Amino acid sequence: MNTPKINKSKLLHTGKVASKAIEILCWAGVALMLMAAIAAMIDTSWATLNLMPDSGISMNGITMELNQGSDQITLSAIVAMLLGCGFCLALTALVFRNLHAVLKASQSGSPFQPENVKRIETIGWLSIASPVAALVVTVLCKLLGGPDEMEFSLNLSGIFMGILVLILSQFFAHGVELEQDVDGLV
Amino acid sequence: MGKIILHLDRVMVERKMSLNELSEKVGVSNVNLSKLKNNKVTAIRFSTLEAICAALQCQPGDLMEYAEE
Repeated sequence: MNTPKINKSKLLHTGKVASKAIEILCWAGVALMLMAAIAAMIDTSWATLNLMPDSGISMNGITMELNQGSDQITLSAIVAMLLGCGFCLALTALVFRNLHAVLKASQSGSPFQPENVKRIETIGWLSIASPVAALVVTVLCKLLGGPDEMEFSLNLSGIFMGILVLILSQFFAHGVELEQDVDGLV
Repeated sequence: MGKIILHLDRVMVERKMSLNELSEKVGVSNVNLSKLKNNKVTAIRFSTLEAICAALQCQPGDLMEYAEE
């Protein structure tokens, strides 16, 4: 079998490095969210003091806005938001971890490996799960005492991307079958 | 179901041709020819078969045989 040219691709190498860097940043974000949640629970004045009327918090698709001066956000809602954002960031980190694994495997051999199909499928499901999780967290924040006029939104582009990636994973699965067919061909 | 058995090693001995020499004439790597010799392949291209037949002056039937299991 010929050595695939893909393992010399600079784009793949750059992608591999970038995906690892983004994964690390996302995990750092998860750690920060956890620390912020713990800090908010320890010092209850921390969060409320920094939230002024006509201001808001927006993180990772989850938005809480204080439209009126009388709006209040409870500590539970803030903690839920921070933990929810941490969870969404963890999902993003897992997307990039899988992407890095796909690129690494593709550089050392053929990209059409059964493990890569599973990884790409996982990326698809995680991409769909992330905006859904953000919506669930927004609803949770509202139930735990978020502002009266809270914005509920579902990032459809993330879901569409997930569906697209899942479809592409099926093409990859076909590629694996074709590669297994020619394995042993001289 | 039976299987195809390759007799490349026997034909090479009859033609007194080494693996390296055949590899150069056919344009297939030693590794792949070795797999052919040892029946380790699952498929062969017509182009490879044509080149081997031309190099060894033989027919495809000389190189392979169907055997019942």
